[in-house]
Amino acid sequence: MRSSTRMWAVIAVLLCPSSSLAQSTPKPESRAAATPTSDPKAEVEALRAEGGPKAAAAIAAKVEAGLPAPALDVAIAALGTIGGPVATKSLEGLTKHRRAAVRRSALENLVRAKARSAPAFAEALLDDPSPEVRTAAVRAIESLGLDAMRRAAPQLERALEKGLAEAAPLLGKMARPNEVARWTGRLDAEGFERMSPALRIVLTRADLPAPTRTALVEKVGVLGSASAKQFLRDLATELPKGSAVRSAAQKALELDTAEAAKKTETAPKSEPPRAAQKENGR
Amino acid sequence: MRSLRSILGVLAIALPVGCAGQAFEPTFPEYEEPGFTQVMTALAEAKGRPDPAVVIGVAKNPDRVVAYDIAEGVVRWTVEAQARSAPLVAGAHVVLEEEKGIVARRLRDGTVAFRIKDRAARLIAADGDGTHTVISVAIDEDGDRKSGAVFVAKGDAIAWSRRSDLPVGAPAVFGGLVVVPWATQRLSVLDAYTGEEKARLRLRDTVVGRAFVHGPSLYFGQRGIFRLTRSIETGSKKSAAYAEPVGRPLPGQPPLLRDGYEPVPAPDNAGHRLRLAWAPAGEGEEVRFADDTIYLVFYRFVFALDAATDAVRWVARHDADLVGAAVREGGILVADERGRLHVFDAATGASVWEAKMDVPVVAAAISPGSALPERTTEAPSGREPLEQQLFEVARVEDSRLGGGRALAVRYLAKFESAKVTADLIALCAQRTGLEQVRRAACEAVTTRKEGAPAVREALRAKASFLAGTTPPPSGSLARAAAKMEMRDVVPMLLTHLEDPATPTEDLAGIFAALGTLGTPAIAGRIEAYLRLYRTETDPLLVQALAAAGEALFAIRGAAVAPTLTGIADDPTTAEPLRAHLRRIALEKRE
Repeated sequence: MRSSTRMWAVIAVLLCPSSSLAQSTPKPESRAAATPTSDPKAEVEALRAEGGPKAAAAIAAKVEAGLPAPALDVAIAALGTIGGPVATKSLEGLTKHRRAAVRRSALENLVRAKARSAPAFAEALLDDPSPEVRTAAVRAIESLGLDAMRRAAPQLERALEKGLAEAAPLLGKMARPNEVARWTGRLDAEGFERMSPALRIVLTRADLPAPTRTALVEKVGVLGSASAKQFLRDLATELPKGSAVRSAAQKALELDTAEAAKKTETAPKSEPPRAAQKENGR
Repeated sequence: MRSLRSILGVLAIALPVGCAGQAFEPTFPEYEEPGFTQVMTALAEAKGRPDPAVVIGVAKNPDRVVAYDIAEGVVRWTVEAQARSAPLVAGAHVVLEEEKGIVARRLRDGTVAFRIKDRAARLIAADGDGTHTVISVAIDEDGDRKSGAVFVAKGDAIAWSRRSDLPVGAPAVFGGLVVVPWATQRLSVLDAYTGEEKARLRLRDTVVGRAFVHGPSLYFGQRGIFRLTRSIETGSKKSAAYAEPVGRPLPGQPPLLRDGYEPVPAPDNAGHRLRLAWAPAGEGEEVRFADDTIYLVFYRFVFALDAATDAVRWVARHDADLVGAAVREGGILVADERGRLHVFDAATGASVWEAKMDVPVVAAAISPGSALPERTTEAPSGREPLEQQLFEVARVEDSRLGGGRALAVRYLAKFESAKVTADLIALCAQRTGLEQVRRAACEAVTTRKEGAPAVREALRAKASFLAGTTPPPSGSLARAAAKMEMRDVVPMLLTHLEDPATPTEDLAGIFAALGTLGTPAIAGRIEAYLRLYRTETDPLLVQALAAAGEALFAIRGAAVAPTLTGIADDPTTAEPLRAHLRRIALEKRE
């Protein structure tokens, strides 16, 4: 009885014409898929060991038919290992799974499978509702290299603005001179708090023109906030002696000190307290 | 030990005063003549008493009691006092619990007229007609308040008192008689001069906890109000002069009358900010409510509710909590925590009179006199429409006001216009707002029949971390779309279904709508969804997947039974879902 209903279920999945997942998956023909056991995880592991497109198709079919969480985890990892169009299609579908852990794992395995669609999916998942997935998306973009980072730059900047701090180092690594100049132009105290990890990386990059970097340091000096000053002090001590950025940081700090002293000198001298006046009078 | 204490308690109360006539005897006959007729005649001949027009407020930092003369518009007196209860205006006195017991202060200047020194006595209620002042108390014995007593003062001194072995309620004094509810169903009418019981009444089918005088009549009741007329002889609310407002769910379920057997709450008790206010009206055997209105005071809101139907006439929102209220024909007089007074017009809810006590108060007893103060401004003819009033109240941001806001949503939903549908959707979409209000609004959205464009527009919204947008309430919107037969939104519903940002609680609504609106072309996507998540155990998701099963049946009919049975029979399918799917398959086959 049970085997006949299971057969119905398998047939239904395979024949289902309008399921995008079902449409993309060829009929499983592997040996492991043909002999289901009561342990879906073990079945998936067997298929993983088997490898190849047929095993990938069988695993994808199992994913579509519904797997318990531990078996699904193994299936996703197996699809990432095996790779290929069928595995990629299945993993792409899973980036919209309701569980964040599944979406994160699906993306990681798309990258692992070197799927051509991985950069696009990583970029899209920067907008995921789960912080866990967004962080994984940043890491995926980083691991996909400079081209992927450049492609995702606008989304990464928006994500950083929305508080995804992990995006900052990537932006620092890939920023071009014109982008750094843009940041310099619109940097304010609030933005500095978010951007400082990116700025720190930018300022240590020798591939960027020195004037671009020193202009950025000067702008940080103008901000005058406590965290901006600390940032400059760190630059002034950590960067190699003689570097243009270090000198600019020192200069900005000196300027700040001089400004403070000037303010103190020009401030009207406060009157002595009344009690003291009385005492002096006596 | 307890009996000794009881005896001492009786002595403490009875000894200082005279004890001529008897009262509250268990064997006293009910409705016995000629006493009953004599009492009815005396009450019928009694003239309306001159109620003072004052507000007595309890102020903090420093602790004091303040009397404000409504007619003169001045603070009449202020005395230092640590109020342990809200004050009560009782004829020529103001009665309240203070640090050293129950105190009656002279209304004219706030000085102490007399005290009830028994520490076990808790103030239940007080009333006065200018000549006599009656105070009822509960005797608190180790936290148990089974017995009570009444004290009657003539002028500024207690003339007599009577103890009851059973609790006494809120008494009234009228026409030289003191009417005392006791033991939940009895009313004893005592001679105000001697304390002798003249007549006894008993209600067979309802509770009586409070007696009070309004205009030329004496009333009593608890869940409803009786006017004392000869028809009370029947002992039943069915044949007596009686009225009670229509029942309806209200936030906090405030009673029509404060429990007549419970002590007066402390000044800072929430009961002063959440209560019903009304005044009796009518004549003879006809009892109704003034302006046919019951007012719900809910912190900063006043809802004018139709007494006879579950409808609202208007709602006023104020900028501070309302801590006192009294009703007369034409409107409601309220006092707010900043010491300001307003009269809201019964017909429109507009403020038609204002005054300032200039003293912030935590509680206020209002005795408006026989009528409300004369209007200083006429009610404007063009107050915003009721649906707009309700919408504005529903979206006030104050977490304490959830119940009142949800009530506003409930009444707002009674309007069928497309504009109201849009308003309800806006309230339902506020995921960061108060859950109670949001749920009420979402529930209302599901039953809408007008406003398809607003539903469509809301379904176009999408959750985005980068754009800073939250998911639309797609479950409620989907149900509304199904109600309005909006087949064109099916693609949008499928998008929300497959978006992980869609909250799980919305999925069941989406599936239900797809079942109504969907065609066989989408059945495959529903089935794929059902299979993909069939092993998940999240109860909300299981519920949604059961709805997916129902939707498949609605679209494909009995042909889908083997599919569902197959999923149900798979041991890896989550157990609760298996049960749901089996039930669905069975029911549909039948």
